[in-house]
Amino acid sequence: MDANLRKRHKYSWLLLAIILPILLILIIKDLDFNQPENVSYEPNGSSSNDMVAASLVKSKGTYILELNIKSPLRSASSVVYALNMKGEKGTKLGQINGAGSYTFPSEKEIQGIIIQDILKNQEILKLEF
Amino acid sequence: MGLDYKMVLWNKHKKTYDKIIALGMVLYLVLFIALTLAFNPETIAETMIIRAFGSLAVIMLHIILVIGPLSRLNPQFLPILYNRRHLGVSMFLAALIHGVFAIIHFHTLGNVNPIYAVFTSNMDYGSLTNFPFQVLGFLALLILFFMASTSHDFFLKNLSPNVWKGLHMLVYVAYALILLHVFLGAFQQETSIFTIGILVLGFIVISSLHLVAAFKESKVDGFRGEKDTGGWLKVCDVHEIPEDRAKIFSVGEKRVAIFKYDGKLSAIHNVCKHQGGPLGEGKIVDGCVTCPWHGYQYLPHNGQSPPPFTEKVATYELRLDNDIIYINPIGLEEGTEVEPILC
Repeated sequence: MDANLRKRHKYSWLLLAIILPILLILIIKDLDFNQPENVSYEPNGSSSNDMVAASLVKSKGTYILELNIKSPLRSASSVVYALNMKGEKGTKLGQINGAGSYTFPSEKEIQGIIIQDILKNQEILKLEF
Repeated sequence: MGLDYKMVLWNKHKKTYDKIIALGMVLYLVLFIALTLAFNPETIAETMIIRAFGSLAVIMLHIILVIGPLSRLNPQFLPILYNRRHLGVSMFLAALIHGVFAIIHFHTLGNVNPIYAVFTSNMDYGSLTNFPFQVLGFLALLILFFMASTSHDFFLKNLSPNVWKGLHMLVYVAYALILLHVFLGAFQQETSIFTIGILVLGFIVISSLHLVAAFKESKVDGFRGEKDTGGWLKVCDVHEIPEDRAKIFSVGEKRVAIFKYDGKLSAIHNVCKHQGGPLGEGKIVDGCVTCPWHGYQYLPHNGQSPPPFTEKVATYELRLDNDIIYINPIGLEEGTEVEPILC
């Protein structure tokens, strides 16, 4: 390197050493590091079969349905509905696209779920908590 | 010192170096996957690939960035500088796999172009904490692509070492973008003090090493020796230079390396014609000044590479008075023969 490149190199690092910490501090200051400790999850029921495991937890006054689809449901369009207090199909919670983990928020407590193929209008499975 | 261009020039040492790089990468990936399966078995394959290659690229970038200053601060680290370009290209490949998988995984299921989706899926450009971090990673990947694709000696020769080196300093911009990309990406998904700690520690180590090395170099650049009546510059006592080694001094805006070998002294311009390596930090091997960066060689008494190679550097006249070395600050044409002085 010649003298000019060495100078450019030095000033580049001086600039980075000043600007990056400022940016990182501004990013960090809005983060809530205590959030995971403060959140408590109360289990409110669960159920599972060979294909699906579902559990309902309550956190900060909101219900969260955790769904683990273990194997593909062989359906082009699978929609998850909540079971209401009477055990009937209630509010639509969301859609699932394949195997994997899903979470759906719910304002009310639910008694279970129904997964339906809405194209064929067929019930794929029903789980009660 | 190549006579022609080949896709990649490998010698025994480069092959060993490359094997170590490949083995290190494979070991890291295996370890990452094994730990993920042990502690987080629900992680899907795509996520595992994205995280494994992303973290590998970040670790490799940190290693690449500490090699330069470590070598300037301690010559024992010079061997790891030897094939840094291959390490850089390997790091780019790891970053590319991370980027491609991330784009496929997150942006190919929509009805817009995936690259367009990278820039538009999160439009919170006004927020620092929720800034679209994928854009930063994408821009860093473009810089790394540019650097990897121009890393060959063909571009070095045709752009000139000065321009090439200046362009490749863009790696510092890429580092800043990647640091912010990882910070924001990690935080927007999971706030982890461990991740913050590692990244902050890495940044402190890298920036401190670069600054310490830069200020050390500034001291050498600031050297202003006294001149005698004939305009020759007094540099040092002859005993300050170890056998087959050199001392580096600034003569005006240029650096000169004064070598001591076989009871003789010769001075040549300190900058290697290949990549601008510091010849004065190398040593005399087989009668030739050998650049510590990539092994380019020059004869000390005329600054010429031994035949059939054609590189040449400027030479300088020396004088010895009562064991004190004086140098004529006006350099001679590159490759000019200068009779070495006896010491």
